[in-house]
Amino acid sequence: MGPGYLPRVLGYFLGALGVLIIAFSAKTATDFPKINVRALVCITAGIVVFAFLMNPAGLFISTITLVFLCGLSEKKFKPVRLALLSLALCLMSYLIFILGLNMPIRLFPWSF
Amino acid sequence: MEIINNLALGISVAFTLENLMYCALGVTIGMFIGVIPGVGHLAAISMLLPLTYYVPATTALVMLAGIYYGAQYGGSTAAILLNLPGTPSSSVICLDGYPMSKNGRAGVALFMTTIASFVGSFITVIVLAAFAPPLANFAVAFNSADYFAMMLLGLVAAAILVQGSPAKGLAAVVFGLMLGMVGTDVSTGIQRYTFGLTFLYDGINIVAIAMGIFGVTEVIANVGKVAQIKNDQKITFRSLLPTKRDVKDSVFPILRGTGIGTGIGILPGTGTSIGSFIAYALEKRISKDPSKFGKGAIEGITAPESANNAAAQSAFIPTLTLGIPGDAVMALMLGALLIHGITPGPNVISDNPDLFWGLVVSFLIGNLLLLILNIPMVGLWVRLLKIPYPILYPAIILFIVIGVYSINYANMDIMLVAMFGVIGCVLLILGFEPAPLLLGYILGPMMEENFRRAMLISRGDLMVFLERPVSATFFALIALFLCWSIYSAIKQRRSPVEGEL
Repeated sequence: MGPGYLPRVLGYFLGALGVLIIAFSAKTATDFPKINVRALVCITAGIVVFAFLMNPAGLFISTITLVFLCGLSEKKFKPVRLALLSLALCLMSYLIFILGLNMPIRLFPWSF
Repeated sequence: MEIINNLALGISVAFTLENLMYCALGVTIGMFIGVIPGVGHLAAISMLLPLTYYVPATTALVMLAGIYYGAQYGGSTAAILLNLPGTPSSSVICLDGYPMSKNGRAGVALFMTTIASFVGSFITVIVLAAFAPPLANFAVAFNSADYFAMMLLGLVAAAILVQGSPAKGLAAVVFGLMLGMVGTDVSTGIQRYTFGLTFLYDGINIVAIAMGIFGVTEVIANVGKVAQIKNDQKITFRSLLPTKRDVKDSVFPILRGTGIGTGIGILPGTGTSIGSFIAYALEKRISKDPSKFGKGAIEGITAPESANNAAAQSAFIPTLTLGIPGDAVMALMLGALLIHGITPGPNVISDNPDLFWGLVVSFLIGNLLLLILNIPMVGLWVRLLKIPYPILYPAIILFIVIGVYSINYANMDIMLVAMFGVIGCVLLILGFEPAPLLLGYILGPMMEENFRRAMLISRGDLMVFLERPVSATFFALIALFLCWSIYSAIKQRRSPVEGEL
């Protein structure tokens, strides 16, 4: 048996289970639980943008962007509160991750 | 006396400054996230998993475990005061805890749940210390076929005992097994499921999966749901004191709850919630006056509270002796062991006695710390309930992304977190439990290795799994589990056609 053996077996299993679930879902189906789509989009976008900004732009700019994008998932946009929160979080992550744990993380676009 | 030597070893490990500090840190964080509704212990543990790269294995486990059992203490606070469970397992506490608080007995309820938590944990830690080493000694004789069968049993049990449809549980396990295969195959060096992407060659990082599926998904599911909390109750020190009757009525429920919790915690796939539900149901059934339940019966909070704490501790028994994690938290604990190069299994206790006994002693210290954190400082925790969620969740997301970034300083890991956050939401909508998926991911590579080894030794003869008595027993149990789940599905729906696996 080679490296492809187990993936293939698991593929068959997953297919069979899928058929089973579909076959019986018509009778057991319930409504989908509602999920906050706005939060899903905003928070995912925030994380993705953070991933791309982290290396070129550094921790502070990425943090501020992330906090504001997350804040968009609320119905009311509160820029002042988000600004204060993002500054506080910048300070906290600087203290914990850079001073406390000595992680080599870039702070600003122009640092190292 | 072996036990005294072992305990002495445990004390020497647990009382180092570093371990004491991380133990205190763990239980405080656990208490904190337990108190606040909308932040679960899984999110917190996966958030702090990257930190374990920086500390020794024992210290890492001491801290992560502290978060887990600390959250069990804290969970009841919001349940009692606001009718909102701080952790899923404390939703039963709402039933009688909130009425008690409306009757002006919130202080008593908080005090008694703390005591129940403490007693439940303490007894179970002793059970853990007494039974784990012999169990591990028994399991040392297992060979690879037995291992494979045991892990398969763990996965099947976890998939079937999980809430919802067993077929969906099994599908989640299979998907998890596949995720565990991503990367370079250990025996042949061939890439599997990497789609030519170099950052997948080492496999998907456990931290990325756990943070995405548990952390990000939980935040997304809670945004907008956790309302701004108005809580004006003042808990004075005097209001904490229970009457003699409260104490008398709680002694046996606490002991029964502890017994149930310990038993349930050992089973794979059950977690702490089921223990507390069963404990509540039992108290209601054997009570002389079942009508008082739901109106603030003290048994209705003490029994489930001791059960969920006992389950949180006894879950360590199969995890540390057999390497089979009972729930997602235990899977993360195994992940922390793997990060430090310790292979989970029966040898953990004999090869790393300092880890096991240090952990046991740290449980005792942690529970004592929680008692101190809870009773004099209850007012502080109550005030924490006023932190609005819109301030909390950007912070959680930020710590998640920085945490996962700090492991390899790779921004693709952050992308994976985002991806698994979305996958977690899809699973939530479709009614798949994420815990079996994580179990499959953790156990998958170990299972495959043992399966291949067994096949090599038996020269490809699958009968080896039925010839060895130990593995045959496990396979019989698997068959029993599957039959039982089909039977109960049929019985529940009364018609064989509608039965779902």
